[in-house]
Amino acid sequence: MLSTKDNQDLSLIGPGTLMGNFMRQFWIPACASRELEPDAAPMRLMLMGEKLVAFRDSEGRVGVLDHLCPHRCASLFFGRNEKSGLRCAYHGWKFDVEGNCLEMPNVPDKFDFSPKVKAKAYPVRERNGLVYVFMGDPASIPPLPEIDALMLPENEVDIFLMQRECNWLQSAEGDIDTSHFGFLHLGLVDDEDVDHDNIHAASVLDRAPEYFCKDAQWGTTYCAFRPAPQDDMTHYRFSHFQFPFFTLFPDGTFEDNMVVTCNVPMDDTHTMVVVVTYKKREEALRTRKDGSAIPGLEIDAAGTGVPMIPNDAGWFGRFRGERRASNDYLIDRAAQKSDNWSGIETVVGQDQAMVESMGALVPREFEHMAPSDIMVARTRRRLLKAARAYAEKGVLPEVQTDVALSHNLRSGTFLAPKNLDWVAAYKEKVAEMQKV
Amino acid sequence: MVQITIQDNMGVTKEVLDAEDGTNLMRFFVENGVDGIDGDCSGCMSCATCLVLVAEEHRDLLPPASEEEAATIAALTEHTVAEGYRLSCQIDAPKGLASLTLTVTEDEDVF
Repeated sequence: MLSTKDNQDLSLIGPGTLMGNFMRQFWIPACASRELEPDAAPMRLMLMGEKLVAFRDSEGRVGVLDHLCPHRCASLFFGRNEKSGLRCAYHGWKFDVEGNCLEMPNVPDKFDFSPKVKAKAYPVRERNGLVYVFMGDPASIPPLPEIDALMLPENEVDIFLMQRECNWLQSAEGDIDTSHFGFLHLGLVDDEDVDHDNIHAASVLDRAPEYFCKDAQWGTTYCAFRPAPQDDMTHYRFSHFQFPFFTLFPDGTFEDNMVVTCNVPMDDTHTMVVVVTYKKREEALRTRKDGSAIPGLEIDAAGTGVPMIPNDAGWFGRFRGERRASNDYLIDRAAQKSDNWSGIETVVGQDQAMVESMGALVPREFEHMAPSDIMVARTRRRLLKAARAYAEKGVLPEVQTDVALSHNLRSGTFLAPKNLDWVAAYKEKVAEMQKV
Repeated sequence: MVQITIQDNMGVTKEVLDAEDGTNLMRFFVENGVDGIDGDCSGCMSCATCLVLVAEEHRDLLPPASEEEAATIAALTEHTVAEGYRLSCQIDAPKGLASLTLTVTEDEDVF
């Protein structure tokens, strides 16, 4: 159980909060590059509880500014994005991507004080299809994160964005709650439905594995382990949490499962999930041994084909699924009785329903965690300690600056000899992978 | 009121707290942010994240551990009730006990 204070310290991310201050010291994936066209309308960007506007100028540079014009606080959302800057609609003041005031056309030249005025602007970088924003201490800007999936060229990955109407932490916890997989997603798939030689069949054949879990330099790491059908082997399914909100989900084969979910807080009760997946990765169990699709699982984590409501310009108008709380995620009770455990379509929709149904902020005082929740519990403690260490001593986790710690961090499934301990099994697997 | 002294495994006092008689110790420690007491399962005896080592002189002053508590400690930790380990979720601050000394070890297990 968490105390009310610990729960709030973990969950709330506005300016000045414990977790908000901590998270702001990391680069935050704020939107996809494809959302911003040169000289197009500025986009409302709700990020970390702050109302911002994002725009791409005539030269292709991206700016992220407070949406309030520093003149008389009209919203720059209504501004004109033209000729290398964003011009406020009210009095024509113009700002570049760094917030510099370029023009003050309603003021006579002799009174022009534009060099003294700056719109609140955050540092921005763009890489491989994502726009990152840094909202922390400008005196110590770290390198961009180097998780494998984020280092792949844009044409080799799928970048899927989906808004969740809940706090960021329960969203992140969903990815490291491994034991839900054999129930929520595969609950009505039977032993005889699956090819027992398929390495991913373990999720069906043994739904109550045991777990190991440890703190790691990047955050936390766990594995589920079960005896493999091969006598002298153990079946491992690894997954990681990386500070401050990244999860590497295990739904695939270790070698090519380059994936990451960025659980980006929009505000305390809305999260933008940014999922980056290697296009050529082999997915885990999606079909039965006769080749037929497992009901409900036709759509994968890359999000291709998830039905979405068209985006609008509102603060929460981006990337909303059609299956949502207001329509109970279009649950099909007949399907739930026959062949789809949850009655909800798609892995994405099933996860969305569970994490949003906890409420916008989870009252964790009411929980009763099982040994299978060890990763969730440990990750909370790791986060709390790290955020408090920053608040009290100004110390941040190594991975904030030593971004190479994420290189070759992989999640997914593999077999290893039974006599190895789990950490050794992981390290040997990574070493073996690097030789190829 | 029971005065509870929390020590680390070197015997150094980390905290001294006053608990009302009858207060559940795990809940009291979680509410007071005692490091190393997590109470993940909220008192169901299924996680052992509220493990404490009771000072030798205080062991007999507490109600004895149930078979289930002893089995949980044996299954999920490297310790036993015989060595003085208890789940703090199974202990309410005993009425009439003036002081209680407990050792709490923080789990720093790095990959």
